[in-house]
Amino acid sequence: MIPFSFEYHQADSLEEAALVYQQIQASGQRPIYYGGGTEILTMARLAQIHFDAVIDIKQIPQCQRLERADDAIVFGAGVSLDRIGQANLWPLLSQAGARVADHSVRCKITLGGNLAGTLPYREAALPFMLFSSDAHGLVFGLGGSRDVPFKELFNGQLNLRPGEFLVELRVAQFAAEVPALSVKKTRLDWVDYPLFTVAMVRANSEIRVAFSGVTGCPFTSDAINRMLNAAGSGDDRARSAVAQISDPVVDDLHGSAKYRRFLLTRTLADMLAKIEE
Amino acid sequence: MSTIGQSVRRTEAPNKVTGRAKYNADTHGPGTLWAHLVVSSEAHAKILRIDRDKAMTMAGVKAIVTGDDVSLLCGEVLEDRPPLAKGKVRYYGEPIALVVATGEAEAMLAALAIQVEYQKLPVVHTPLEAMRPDAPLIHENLGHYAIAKPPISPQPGTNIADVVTLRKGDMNVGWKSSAVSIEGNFTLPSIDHAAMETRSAKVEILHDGRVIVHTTTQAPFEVQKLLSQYFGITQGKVIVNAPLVGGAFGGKATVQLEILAYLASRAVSGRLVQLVNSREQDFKTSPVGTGLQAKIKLGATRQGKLTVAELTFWVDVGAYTDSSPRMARAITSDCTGPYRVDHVHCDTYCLYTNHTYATAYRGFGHMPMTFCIERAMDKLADRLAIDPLQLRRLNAIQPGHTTPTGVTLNLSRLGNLNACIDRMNDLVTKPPGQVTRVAHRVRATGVSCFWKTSSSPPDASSGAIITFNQEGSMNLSTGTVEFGAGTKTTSAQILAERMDMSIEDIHVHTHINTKVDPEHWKTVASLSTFMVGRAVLDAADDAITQLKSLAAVVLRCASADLAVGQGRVFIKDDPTMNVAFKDIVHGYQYPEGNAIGGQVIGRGTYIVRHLSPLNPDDGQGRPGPAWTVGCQAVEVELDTSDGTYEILRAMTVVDIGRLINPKGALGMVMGGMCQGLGYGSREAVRYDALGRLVTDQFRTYRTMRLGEQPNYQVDFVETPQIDAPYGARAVGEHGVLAIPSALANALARAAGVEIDSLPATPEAIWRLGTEVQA
Amino acid sequence: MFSYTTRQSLILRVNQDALTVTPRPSDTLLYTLRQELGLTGAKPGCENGDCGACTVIFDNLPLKSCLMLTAEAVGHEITTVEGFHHTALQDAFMDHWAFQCGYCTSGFLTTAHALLTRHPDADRQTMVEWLRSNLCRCTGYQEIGDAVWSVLQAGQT
Repeated sequence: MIPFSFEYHQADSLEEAALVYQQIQASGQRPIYYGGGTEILTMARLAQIHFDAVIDIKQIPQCQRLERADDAIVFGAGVSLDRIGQANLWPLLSQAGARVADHSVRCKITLGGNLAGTLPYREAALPFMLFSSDAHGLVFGLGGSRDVPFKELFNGQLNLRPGEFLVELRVAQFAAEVPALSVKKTRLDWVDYPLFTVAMVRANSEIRVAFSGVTGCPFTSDAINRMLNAAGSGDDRARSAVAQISDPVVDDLHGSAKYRRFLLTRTLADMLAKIEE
Repeated sequence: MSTIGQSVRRTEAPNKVTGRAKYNADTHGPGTLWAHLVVSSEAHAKILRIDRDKAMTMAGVKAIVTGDDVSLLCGEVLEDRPPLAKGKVRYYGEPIALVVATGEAEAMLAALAIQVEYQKLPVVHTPLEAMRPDAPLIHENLGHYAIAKPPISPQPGTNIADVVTLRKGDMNVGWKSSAVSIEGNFTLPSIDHAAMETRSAKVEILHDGRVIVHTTTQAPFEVQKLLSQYFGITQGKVIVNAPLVGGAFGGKATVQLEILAYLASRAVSGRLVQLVNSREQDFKTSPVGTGLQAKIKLGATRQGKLTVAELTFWVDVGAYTDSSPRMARAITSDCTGPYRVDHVHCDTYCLYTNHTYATAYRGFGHMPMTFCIERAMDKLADRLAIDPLQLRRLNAIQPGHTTPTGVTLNLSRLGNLNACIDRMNDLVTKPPGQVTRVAHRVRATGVSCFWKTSSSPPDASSGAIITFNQEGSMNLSTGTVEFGAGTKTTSAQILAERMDMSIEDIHVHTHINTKVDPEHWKTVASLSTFMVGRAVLDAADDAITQLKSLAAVVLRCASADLAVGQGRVFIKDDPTMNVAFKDIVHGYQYPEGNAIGGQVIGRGTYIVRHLSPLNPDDGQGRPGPAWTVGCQAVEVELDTSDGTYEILRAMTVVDIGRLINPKGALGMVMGGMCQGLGYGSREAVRYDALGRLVTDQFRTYRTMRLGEQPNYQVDFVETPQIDAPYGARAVGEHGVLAIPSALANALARAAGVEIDSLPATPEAIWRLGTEVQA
Repeated sequence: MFSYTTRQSLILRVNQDALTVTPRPSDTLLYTLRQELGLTGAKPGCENGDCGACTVIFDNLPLKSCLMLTAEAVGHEITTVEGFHHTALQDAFMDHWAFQCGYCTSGFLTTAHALLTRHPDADRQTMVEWLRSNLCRCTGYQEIGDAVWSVLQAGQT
């Protein structure tokens, strides 16, 4: 059980959520926004985080949007990864999300939660990172809503101002129409934390990749993309791309840095072969 | 119709598919207090200070108990373990303090508020490290501990808790008659039982001195005995209840939380206290299955006949011995694997490390032991260029041979390993020595054999009581716990068979209560079918005698003229002359009203016979009533470029003696195989550089999931064990035994590397491959 | 806005009954089902969302009740294993010996039941994807897969 007590608030509107956040904070207490809650509850049980109130935002209608609108696809932050996969409006996002945790948990984990969590993987961000010029997020706080280019919103983790929360992410419709792949590698099991996850697209015959699990948090790199678009065999390009990773590669219980580098090289080569078919 | 050989449903199945089956933590009343443990955050350290002042003032806190409040050392063989750490901690996760509070949340919050100050000590990580003369001492008082149950040979001033020595034949002769030899060094990690139900205990001390215990246990009578002994309570006043258990695998045969819950209850005037392990504590605080290191040297003739085996096992017992000394003897007893070896030299050391302490795990040390032997056998097959299965066939132990401990085998005691190997030869479809290669994908099959006997105490006993309902149906009470192995169903089948009755008319008592149910030593060692089955048959015969003697009066004949069946006692040569059970089981009443007889109550017992402890000098002795032998194989497809692989097929042929419940037996074997594949491929208890356990959740301690299991093929050979009920051999543990080695043999063959440690993860195979290339 | 700030009463819809509970706002649904409603079919195996033994059906979806606050369940329909009566799935689990100790069984049954409702046409891959949300330590998993598959197939023919 969760040893400490906290309040539960289920907001019906964006304004309500921001207001109650401010009120709780003004009374000297610590509120947090709550989506699927899967990480918050497990950490709370182990007393690894502390707060006085959760503000559940997932059922706010704007956070539940999952639709095409004009030339964009809109994903509410409160939509579960399972629903995103079922609707499959953006196959790349469906794929990347489909390997987070397990199916039952994905029925609870939300898009916003996956991006905002403390776990470093945040796989659902990868597809948006690949279209960061054509993706936007809508955030909401006491000052109202803000439309933020994805690039500014997310650089490995969500950049929100105090009291703000993510309402939705939008991506241009064409993102769903280019060849794309997401591959997750684990130590052995299907359901496990990743050794890494790689998302790759080919847009205008240019290849772009985004990584999670390789270093501290998800990243893309122009230098790596340049290597992948240079001349040469897939194997060579993959090798030089991985050689570009300067940050320390994760070395943990799931796999050593050396194996991650090796497997990443292979995986990139396989993905290049597939996407360039 | 005979019920033996029928896949009758589990007696408790309907309750398990409706959520009605009650496990220990499912029942609790209002007013129950909660206990929560504070556990060590260090692997080896002096405890300088435990600050409980703040916690004592917190809401709902009733008591806080620490090691300073308790003068007690526990241990089933050697009393080396304080229930709450005293003076120092010896493993990460060791209980330090016990908070008792009005609710679970209150207890948890107070536990978080307790501050412990440590002075770190150097950490011993492996058994071989523990052997070093300059190794830090984990138990400074080793020479002063009481021996609860000999034999054990602790070596004061070292980390050696026990040494078991086995000498058979003449090593000089053995080596001289060998033409080739191989040597292997093996390192195997500890495994966690990872039963789905975490361990828990509830204790209440009544004003009249009775101690009522409810616990997740395989050994309710051991809990009763130890609580009585540790706290000076007459046994009759310790009443232990064991409801259905949610998986055990040996991990619930040890006594830990019961002692803590007793201490908690005692601290609050005997009120009912509940202590439930979180999953994290179940992983790090409660004992694990043992890991070990080993050096194996085998010698053989040019033709492949084993002549000699020189074996050393260094068992990682962790911080405390628990049942490890008994396990070390079990390993030693069967140390050669199921092969004839005339000259054997085996030394098994139990070594203290700063790991979680170890206890029995399915196979009682035989799974890691078998891994070492079976990997060594494959090395020998490679050296000799003999097919691995043929090498095993050539050396398979047979009736007339003697075991390492000097037991002369016969067919009943041993079973038929040759038949298992031959059947496996058909199943594997192509010789396991061959691999199939398509680009960098390689298919290979690994084989391994196993044997195991019970290594149980020479005085282990079991009992059964049968009572009758007025309608003539029967109630069966035995002392075995139901943790999934189906012992209740099997004993009902055995009784139904003997009484020639429908299984529907047998009602088994599922929840054990030590006050009511006759003792069964422990529900371990795959012995339940044998021992309880014998007791049930004895009780049935007792009931039959009583039924016949009363029926003889009613039917005016000699008892010898009568037989029982279908709920009646009838005259053998004229079954139309009979009396129904319902008319005699509670006495017989004549038409005019007089009654004779009385309730029929069948009582049965069994005690193992002819067993003897291993001689301390040479390890000779008889460790168990009979063996179970078998052969297992695993087929894999490995991608040699990155070490990833798929487990395609897993096969087992086991001599089961007699199939009592085919689906039940199949399930036990497949479940064992699945666990074995888990240990072979992914499971390991792991520690960081400071000795802190890092695999304390299912996210880090990886077990198999659905979809990862291979295609199972299981076949049974039936060579009856003559003294066993209907010939049935022990099979509960065995599915797990040789699977890790079969998997490693397959992967080693496919990858062209030596896999001598586990788990065989893709990264490990890849690393070995790169080392070979370099 | 629905605010649940201190222990009061809530009404949950469980197995088609409206039941009153008085949890702390920080109590998980698993805790409330077991401690307040006595619905102990949902088992705590890890309280971490890893094992699936506490899975319940939540508006037709399998959810791990340890990963949900009781208050989140207000206004939703919850089905626990106690809500199943003589279903083909329960029979299949018994006939295929799809459990031994039985501790994981409720979770597998609820997950599989949700699958049958939501994807009666599920193929093997979908079945596996749903069922690998749950852990079993006793069986070889084949028994569980066979039991669920047999019911899926019976519905598909």
